[in-house]
Amino acid sequence: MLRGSRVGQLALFLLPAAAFFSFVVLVPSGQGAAYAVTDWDGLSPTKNFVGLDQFLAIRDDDAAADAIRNTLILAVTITIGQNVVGLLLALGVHSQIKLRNVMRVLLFAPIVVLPVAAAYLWQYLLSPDGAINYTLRTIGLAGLAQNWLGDPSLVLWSVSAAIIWQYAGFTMVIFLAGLVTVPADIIEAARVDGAGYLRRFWSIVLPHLGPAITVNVLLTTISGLKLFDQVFVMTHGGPGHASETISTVIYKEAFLNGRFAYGTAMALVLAVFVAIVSFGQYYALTRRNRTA
Amino acid sequence: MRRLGVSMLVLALGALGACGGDEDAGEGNGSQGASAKATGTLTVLTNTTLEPAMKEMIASFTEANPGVTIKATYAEGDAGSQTIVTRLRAGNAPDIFYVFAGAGNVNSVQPLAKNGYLLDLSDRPWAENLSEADKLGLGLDGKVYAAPQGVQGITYVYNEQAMTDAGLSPPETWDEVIPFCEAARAKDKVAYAVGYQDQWPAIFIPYALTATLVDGPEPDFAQSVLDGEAEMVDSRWSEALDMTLEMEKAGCFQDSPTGTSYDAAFDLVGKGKALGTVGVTVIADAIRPKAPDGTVLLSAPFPATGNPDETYLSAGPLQINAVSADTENPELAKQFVDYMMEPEQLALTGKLTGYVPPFPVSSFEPKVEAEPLIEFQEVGRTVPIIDQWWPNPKVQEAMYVGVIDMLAGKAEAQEVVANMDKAFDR
Repeated sequence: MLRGSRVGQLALFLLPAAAFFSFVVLVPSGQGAAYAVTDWDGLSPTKNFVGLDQFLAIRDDDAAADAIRNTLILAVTITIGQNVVGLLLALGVHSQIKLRNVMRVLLFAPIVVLPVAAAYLWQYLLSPDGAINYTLRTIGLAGLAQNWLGDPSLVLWSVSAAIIWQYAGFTMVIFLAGLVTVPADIIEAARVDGAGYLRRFWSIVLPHLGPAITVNVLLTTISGLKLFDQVFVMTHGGPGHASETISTVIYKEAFLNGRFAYGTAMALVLAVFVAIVSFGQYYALTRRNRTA
Repeated sequence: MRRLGVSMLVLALGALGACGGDEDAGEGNGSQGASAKATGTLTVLTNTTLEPAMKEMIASFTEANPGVTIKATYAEGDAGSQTIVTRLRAGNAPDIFYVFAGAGNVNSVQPLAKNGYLLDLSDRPWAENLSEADKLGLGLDGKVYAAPQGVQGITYVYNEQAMTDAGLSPPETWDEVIPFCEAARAKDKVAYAVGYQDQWPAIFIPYALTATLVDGPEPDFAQSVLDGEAEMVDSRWSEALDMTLEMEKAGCFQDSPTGTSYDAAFDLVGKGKALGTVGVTVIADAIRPKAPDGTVLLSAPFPATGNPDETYLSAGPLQINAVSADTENPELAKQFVDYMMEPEQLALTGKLTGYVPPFPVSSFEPKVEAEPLIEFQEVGRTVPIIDQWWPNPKVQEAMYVGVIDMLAGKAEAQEVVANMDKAFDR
């Protein structure tokens, strides 16, 4: 009876959050999935069932194909870049350097800037006459000045750099939390035994960072796959479709082109794709952590 | 201006604007809003370009009607468009909001009217003064659902001082365009600033060219495409796109045109680093704050052939107000729209914003940059802005994305126009 009462109490505590989650996430997601099998334009009072037509249209849409490719490139680039930079920053501020606490705050600071505000800042920095090109020209490196956001071959790397700049601090903090769990006596013992820095890092530190790596890779991959704000502000998906992502296509089709049902179909595809990648990644990484 | 799309019949080349109409065609309206002593509250969402005029009109209307409160918000382009539609769906749309003519935008008149979101304004006194072409673009099934506060044309807006200092003048024929660009470069100036990072501004030069190459000589062509009797590839559209590419290769644009925002392009013109830019004439108001005090901005038609007498201007209603069918104060909303459409208010709008009244207003004193548009209206050499003929926004998107891909060497003109045809059919 006590157990039943306990379950009841737990359910009562969970109920508000569950209700809120259902109202904000589950119900709209279900509605979106329902719209995806109709021809609704977002305005008409009628919605006609069209089966999988919207999903087949995604298959035939060149802009959608570009968006999927760009999204994957951005997700992989940001995941690798942000984690490598975050790890290096964490190793740096975990050392005994002076001002390490100040460094930690400064490196974390970009995360508190609104993504849209950071995107506008980078749009200016990367403009043809922006601070980056201006600096390069001033120091005699005019040949390195580029059309960072207007060149189709550079735009994805430019957007990735802006995002890595903003979120590497967040990744750093999670790695720092992992670094403090590394037993200092094992490190010391390895040092006494003659193990160099790289050997100590690879054999001792890195295995202890398993959970931190799992969390960071998962979060960066998911955010990379859902990327919208920075791309929309910095490039509007251009030049042409060179930086279009799945999220920007969803926005344009649903809200600007009057193809609401098509937009929700793409959103559903994105949600399923993110779920598959996330679960797969989580399974692989946690399995690795268990065997390590 | 973002997207325009309307299915319209051009009955005559001078169907828009002041050609052949009676002076002060709207004068019979009277100050209905002022004399009615109305009461109530209205909410208005309009474009930022109308803000200076809207504030004055609200102030004078509420002074004459102390029982009325009008709360206005101002939005730009896409942000406003999708806000309006979202709020219409949610049932909390403002009483009066801005729309686009035709069917090519998500907040265009025809799809909104078709789905019952707009109040019928056919019985308003100003409605009878609209041209037949305007009535088609601003209505559905013979009814009028929106009030055009102002007309705009696509011209070459330029910095007079910069042009004079460079010792140049705007070209009057296409043959003069490339030499003009080269001469500007020799003076370390850019002839035509463009803001292609925002993508959609890539519409302006092709629109300006096709007004002369396609729609001026063949006013029925757009309708025939809509009816499925012709295709865009049958026209000189691909030639217009190739001419745009030719301009880029000749150095007419600034370096890195696809990396420059539209606002940055205005900055170049305002500061005199660029001589001008092609766009709707009202962009002069966006350039002026970036220019030194006293800078004069003028406009000129953008030529497409070797004969200046063959040049046409793209022009159409761009500042358009509609009333929500769900408004709680329909009579008050109509009264305020009527007030905004009075000749004095249209003249005020033109004076403060650079828009041209949709019908003749004797007290209207155009801004100097609007004068070429008025001249072309008077001689019947304007055509509707071409995307007002298009059935959906995808056609325009295919066009401007195609232009940018052409500049990057990733597409050919014929391919872009074929994609536009494909977008017609979806």
